[in-house]
Amino acid sequence: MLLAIPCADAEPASSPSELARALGAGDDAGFAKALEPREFVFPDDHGPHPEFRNEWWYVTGNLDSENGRRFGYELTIFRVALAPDAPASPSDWRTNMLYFAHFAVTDAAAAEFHAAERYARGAAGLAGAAADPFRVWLYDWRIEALPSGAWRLAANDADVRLEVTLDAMKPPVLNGKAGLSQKSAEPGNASYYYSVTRFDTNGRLALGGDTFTVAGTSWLDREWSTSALAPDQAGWDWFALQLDDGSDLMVYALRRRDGTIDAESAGTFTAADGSATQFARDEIRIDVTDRWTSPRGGTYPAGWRLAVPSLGLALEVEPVVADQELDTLVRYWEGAVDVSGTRGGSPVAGRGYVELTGYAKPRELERP
Amino acid sequence: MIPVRFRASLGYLRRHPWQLALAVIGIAVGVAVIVAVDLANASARKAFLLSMDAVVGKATHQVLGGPEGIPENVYTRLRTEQGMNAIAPVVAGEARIGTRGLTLIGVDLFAERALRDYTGMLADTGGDAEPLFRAFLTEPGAVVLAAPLAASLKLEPGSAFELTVDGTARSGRLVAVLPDEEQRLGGLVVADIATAQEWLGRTGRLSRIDVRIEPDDEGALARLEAALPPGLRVLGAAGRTQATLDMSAGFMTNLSAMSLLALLVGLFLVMNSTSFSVLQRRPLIGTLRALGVTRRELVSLLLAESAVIGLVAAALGIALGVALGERLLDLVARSINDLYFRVTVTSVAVEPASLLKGLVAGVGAALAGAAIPAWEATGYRPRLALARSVLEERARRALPFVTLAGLVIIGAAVVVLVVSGRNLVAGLAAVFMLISGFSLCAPLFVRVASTALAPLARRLGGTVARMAVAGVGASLSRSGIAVVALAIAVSATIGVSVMVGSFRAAVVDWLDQSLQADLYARAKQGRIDEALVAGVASQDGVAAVSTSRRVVLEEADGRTWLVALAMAPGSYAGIELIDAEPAAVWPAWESRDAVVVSEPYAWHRGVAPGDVVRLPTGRGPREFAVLATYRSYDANASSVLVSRRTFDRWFDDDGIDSIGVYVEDDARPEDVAAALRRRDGATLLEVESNAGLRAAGLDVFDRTFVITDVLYWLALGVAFVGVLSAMLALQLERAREIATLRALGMTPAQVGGMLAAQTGLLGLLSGLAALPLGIVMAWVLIVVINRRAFGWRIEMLVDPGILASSVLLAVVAALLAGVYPAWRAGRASPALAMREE
Repeated sequence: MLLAIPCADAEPASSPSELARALGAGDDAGFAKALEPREFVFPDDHGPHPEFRNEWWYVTGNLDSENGRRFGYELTIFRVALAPDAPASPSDWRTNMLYFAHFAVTDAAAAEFHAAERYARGAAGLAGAAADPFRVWLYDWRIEALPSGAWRLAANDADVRLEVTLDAMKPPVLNGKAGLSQKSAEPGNASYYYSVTRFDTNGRLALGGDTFTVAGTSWLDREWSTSALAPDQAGWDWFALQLDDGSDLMVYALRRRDGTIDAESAGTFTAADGSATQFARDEIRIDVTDRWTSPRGGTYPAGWRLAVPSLGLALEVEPVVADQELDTLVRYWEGAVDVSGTRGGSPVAGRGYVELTGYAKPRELERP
Repeated sequence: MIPVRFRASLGYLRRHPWQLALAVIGIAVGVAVIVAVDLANASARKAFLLSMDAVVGKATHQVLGGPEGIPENVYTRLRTEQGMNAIAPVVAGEARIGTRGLTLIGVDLFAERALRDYTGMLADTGGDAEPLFRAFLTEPGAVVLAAPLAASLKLEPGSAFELTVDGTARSGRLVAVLPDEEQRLGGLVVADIATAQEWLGRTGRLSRIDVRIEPDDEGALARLEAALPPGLRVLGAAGRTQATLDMSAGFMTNLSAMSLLALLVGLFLVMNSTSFSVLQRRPLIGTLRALGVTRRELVSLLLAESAVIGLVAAALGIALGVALGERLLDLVARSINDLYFRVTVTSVAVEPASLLKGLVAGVGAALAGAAIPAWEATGYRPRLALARSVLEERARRALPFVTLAGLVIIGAAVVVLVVSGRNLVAGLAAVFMLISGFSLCAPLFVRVASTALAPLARRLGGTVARMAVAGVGASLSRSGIAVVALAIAVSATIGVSVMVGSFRAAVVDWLDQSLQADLYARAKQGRIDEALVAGVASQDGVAAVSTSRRVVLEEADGRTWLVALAMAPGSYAGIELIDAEPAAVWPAWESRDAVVVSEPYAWHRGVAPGDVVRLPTGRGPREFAVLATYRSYDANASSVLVSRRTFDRWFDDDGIDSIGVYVEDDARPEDVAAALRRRDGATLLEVESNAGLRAAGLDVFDRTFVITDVLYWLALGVAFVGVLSAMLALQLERAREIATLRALGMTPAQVGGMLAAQTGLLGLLSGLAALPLGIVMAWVLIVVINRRAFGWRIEMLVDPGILASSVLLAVVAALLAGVYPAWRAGRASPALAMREE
């Protein structure tokens, strides 16, 4: 709907962060930048950081129905500041904040994938975020803290409707250097980045006229920044894997346009007890074992051997359904995956989510 | 090889080019007027529908509130709690850039996708769309305009400009122009909803919520209605557009009827020239018949001739009509803007249907005009056809039947008027029946009048005068038609002038009565509140104040203006109650849930004192007792008066549009006005004297009737051509008679004088014949048409001056038309003329 970002002569615009960048393109002046590690305070930092240009609340999860039907879901709410300062106005509608959100559900049994996106201004109560009580919403899509301290997540589109409760099983972990996640060499091309790697998740999913009682685990990624990728970076591959021994692994591989993996790529390992270990590019090995070509254009990796030898991890990662590409304004692949392999020589299995940006064919601008 | 008869036809037409030209001109002008009015109406209608299409988009329904609009949190709740997606908020108002009146529409680009394509259009404007979206959303005053509109205002993307929104000057910046090939957006200033709220001072309020409900989503409407707080209503979008358009239907129908009048006059003109051409060719017709050409062949020949004339004339008329349409469109659009709704029309949309109408009308009129003369002229036995006298004799014998037919048609018109109730089209049809009926009676009138006048003429002007008068009566077959054409045109001027004159007098009376206060103040900047009213009331020299607030109530079947009045003691006299005693009405009106309704409102809704009307209030629909009907010629005619107290009980609207100021007897209004204008504070007042408002009111009135003036002058022009053609015909036909007179010793001056006297007489007779028809037409226009179209009741005032000047107009027109034929007849060489056969 919104923007003619994928111009014919432009580089493939491909990731939500690039959309964010496009929306807030140009001058960084007036925005805060992620230059140094900072102190994180919760629940305050669950709330918005409007002095930074971009921010997102990224929840993914793997769920099973009572009779064992497998589902995956994603609900991401993005905040973008169009200008550093909010214009003064008597009108509640005047704002510099734009929110957009993606909601996707993967139905493994039917090998189906359903995705939707929405936009709203961060004003007039239509979309916004608040720290205490924590709440981020866009129209009736929302993630919000309940009095119990658990979170409620609700989203819907057409005949898909998800409503689940998220109970954090681990404290937030800070990625990168104490939460400062460098994305490319230039100072300031970084974000503040934390995750809550495991939520016990229970609720209901309505799909195509059926309603399922679902349970499983979810993952929250939180990032805010003003600029992130460098011009020579094409996109990233992001892995958020929850293993059955209670540990969780996050890896992001930033891809350069020349096909190599950027030195700033990194990851975080969170043990079952919540203790986190950060590791760098040279500790990560990724081999692509399969590829998938989107019917909408572009070829994605579709299977990986992922190893972090320093942690004794050697994993095979496979998509649950091949086509989990979000055909949103900016296309990317974000899907549920199965994990198998070994940790310290012992067999381990798990589930997770993988995000692949920068592979898609740019979307033709559609007239609505 | 062209058959002999066609060659004969061509030869004749070639020898009489002026006659051909006049017939063509007559029809062409008639067709031009029809086409022009049709195009102007259709263009205005189309422009309105297109602009509504751009505004309404794919919305099937609209959520509307009371006059104060909708609290914006209703929209937020529908989105965040009800999860409704195909809805979009709109804040709309009036704006003006330079002299251009426009609609300001404030939208939320993120909500537009399901309803309108502004967002896509904005993204399509080329180049980098991002800064444009950012500017549109975050910059106060950022607007987009349609490219043609921006060009006509000499604005380019990036230009800053001044505009007036709701009477207050604002600064805008054009951030982009939208492509607009279909001219749908020409009347719009599109801004972010925040900008619209800021400019309109409508913080916290929406004008409406547009909703798209898919046809197969059955429960959706009920769910939406259930989710709305009381006081908000859901109306069908298409019905709302139609209701708006319907407001102007009466106006447009009247214009079409006036254009038909011009064609009707044109039709007589064709009849005139065809009968004459037939007369001229009676020797030829006789000969052809004697040679064995059948009557059917002859009739088809004459009709074919007319059809060709009609075709040529229609083609000319259509071209002329398109050009004239451009001029009329301005007038039509201005009247519609004054009276009904905002419409921006930049150019005439040339509709094939309008052109086809013109073609059919032109050829049809030519054929209809030729049919009777053709049938008649070919009906004689060949030998008789040669004799001119036979024809006149026949015309004379037909006279009683023609007159009887005329009377029957007039009777039928009366019946139509009586039985057709409130139907406007039937009323107009009756007008045309009256015209036809009178036309058929006119020849008898000419005969009787000329017979009666002949002795008088001899006594006054001698033999020449007597001959002139008798000549008119004796050549009824043609002069009759000329008289009719002119009489119709003149009667139309009488009818319309009397109607407009009566109407204007009524409006003047009404304005004088309504404007009771000495001064009227409205906000030039800021808004009027109770404190300000109290301040004005305590000003030196102010005896009393009244206030008024006018808001629109929208219902499925149209719009009502609700006027909330806080009366001063002197205000009551300003409202003329038609059907109730003021003393019985006003106390109840002040305290109860009761209203006084305007005459047009009562007429259109069929309500009378004692009934109740249901109005959508801020707290839901509510019934109000109708206490009386009041006279109003207000442009927004469908008004309901309610006391301020009652209004405050039912509407959350503390706005005040204007303050009526009654000045102390010993104070001078201009001093008080000056003091009010100089007041300090956030609100600046614009103060107008009652004389100023009265003049402004009459100005709107006069503007509305400019187009009426234009149309009847055109009809008169056609009639003038008709008389000219008839005079030329008479002169030509009587060439031998005149030559004889010349040979007998009459001077060219005497011949010219005789012909001039004849045409003058013809004009006089037309004028006299037009009097009764004109007065009857005026009566029908005032009592039937105005009432049916607008609901107004107007007292008919016949100004003798109008009647006298109309008769004079007829005489002058006829004399002017007679100048050239008379001059030509005088100059003709008697010898040549007599040798013609």
